Amino acid sequence: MDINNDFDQQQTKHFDNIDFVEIVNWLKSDEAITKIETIDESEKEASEKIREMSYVKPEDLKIPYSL
Amino acid sequence: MIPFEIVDYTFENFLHILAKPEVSVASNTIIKKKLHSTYFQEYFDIIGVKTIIVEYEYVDKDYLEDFSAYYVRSFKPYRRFCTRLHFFTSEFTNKDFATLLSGNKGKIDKDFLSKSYLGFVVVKPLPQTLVGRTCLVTYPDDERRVFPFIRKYPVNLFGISLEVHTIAFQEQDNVVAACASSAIWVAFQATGKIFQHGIPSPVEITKAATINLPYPDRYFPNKGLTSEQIAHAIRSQGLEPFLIDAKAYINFKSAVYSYLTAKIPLILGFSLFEIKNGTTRFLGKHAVTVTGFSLGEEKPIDYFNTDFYLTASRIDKIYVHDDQVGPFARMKFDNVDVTIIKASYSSLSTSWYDNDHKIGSVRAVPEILITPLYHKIRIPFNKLLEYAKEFNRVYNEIAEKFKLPLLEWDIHLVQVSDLKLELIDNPSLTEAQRLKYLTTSLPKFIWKLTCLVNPVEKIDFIFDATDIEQGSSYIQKITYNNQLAGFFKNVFSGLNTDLIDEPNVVEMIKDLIV
Repeated sequence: MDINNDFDQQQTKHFDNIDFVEIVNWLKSDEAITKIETIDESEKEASEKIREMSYVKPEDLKIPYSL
Repeated sequence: MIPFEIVDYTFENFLHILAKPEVSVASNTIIKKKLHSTYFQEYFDIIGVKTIIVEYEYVDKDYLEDFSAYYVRSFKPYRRFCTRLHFFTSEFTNKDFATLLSGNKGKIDKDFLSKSYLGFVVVKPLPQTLVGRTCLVTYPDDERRVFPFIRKYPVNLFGISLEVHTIAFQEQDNVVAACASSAIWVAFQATGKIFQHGIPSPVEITKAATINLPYPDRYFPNKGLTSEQIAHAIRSQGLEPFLIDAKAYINFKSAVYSYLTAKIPLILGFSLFEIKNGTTRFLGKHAVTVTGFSLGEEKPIDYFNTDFYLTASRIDKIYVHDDQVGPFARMKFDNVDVTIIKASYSSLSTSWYDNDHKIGSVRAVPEILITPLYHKIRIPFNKLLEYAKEFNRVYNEIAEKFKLPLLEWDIHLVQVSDLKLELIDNPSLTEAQRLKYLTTSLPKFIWKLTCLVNPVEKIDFIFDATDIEQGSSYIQKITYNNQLAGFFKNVFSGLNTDLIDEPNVVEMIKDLIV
């Protein structure tokens, strides 16, 4: 998923004029359930990158830091 | 011999002091060629040094440990006393200082010296590696630069109490210690304070590192430490080493931000390459201690291409104690890749000299970060990243549909005492909120996920950092703004949390809609 908006512009949008009833109703729809239940490839890749952060290859552990 | 001397600061005068036979045994040529000299020249200009007090015959504990373990048994009579150079922003003379010490009223007093004190450099009586324990003030304060674990070092100069807020630095001597031992020594300066352990000297660190992982070669002169040996040295102080793959910028920045903000240092291991005239030359592997960072990027960067924005991604520079360069040396995330045998690697700029004695063409390719943790800090930083990313994913599905504001995540470790200090003075909290948060019993170490919107309004989600990874370690939310809390409550109130697998995220959302 990519909202594809300029970060500043998108982040500083105000909370006013949001129809929360519409959000509640949408969250109960099949479209919302499918979207939330289905994790797309880019999200899976991101999760994989995060999990691998604490994996260090054994060969990186053997050479001395010596300069 | 006179016990002190006052010298007006010029770079030439500084070099002249270092080359004095009663100060060091290094030659003029060696002193001028040292990268530290170039570094100090620039640094002293930035911090505004005007006057130097030279304190002769100074006994330095760390050098004395190294001296008693190694140098004393040499046939050549190495000296056991060092010289300590003190730096000030004010101007005064030998006569002014002598008048002060004799107890007479003169141009300067103790308060005058204390206010203009910038710290000290211990000069070791060794032929090449003369920069001993160094405690100098950090770069002048600004909002971008963060040096979280600097602490107070009290200094006694002939009975005058002075202090400097910094983290100590020293150059490896290539005999009892290599770069890695120096990096560990710097890291212990910080962890010794927050996790309450002794601070061993470089020679003791090298011995602890190699005792169970012997080299095929001799220990001294020391030829460096592997990551495994660094880990052993960390364990010798009752701490647990946590290893992080630092090859990608985002891993590096997230780890530095998460732990350094909690005053926990990181040791960075990298390879150095000289890139010149189209050729790449490997120089060797080096270790330094990360002591600070700068949040210089205007906007957070979406490293995951999923509209997942981390405050850590705003880091544009780190500051390191690099024993071959100096304290608080800058390394920049400038998006330059280094190609090695057809593969590209992210790299950082350095202040190292190249073959022609010029700065600018030596690049650092980061490999690992090792952070010494208190054994009860069990949940690693990337677990929290996973929780934040999953929350962000669910929220973004709604945000995309209804054009809601995007979120930025500030993820860092915090000690309960620091969290409560922050809360007691926070004017955004109501009386009831303050009372509730301050009196809640919490673990000593907490992961804090701060969700920023708009972009200064925030809500904190706190997690028990001492818990186990399975299940949920979520504790509670901390709200500072009722409008934001209401916004999240309304956004998620229709969500079926059974659709989310991650139990921590389920608890975060349930807590929001209570």
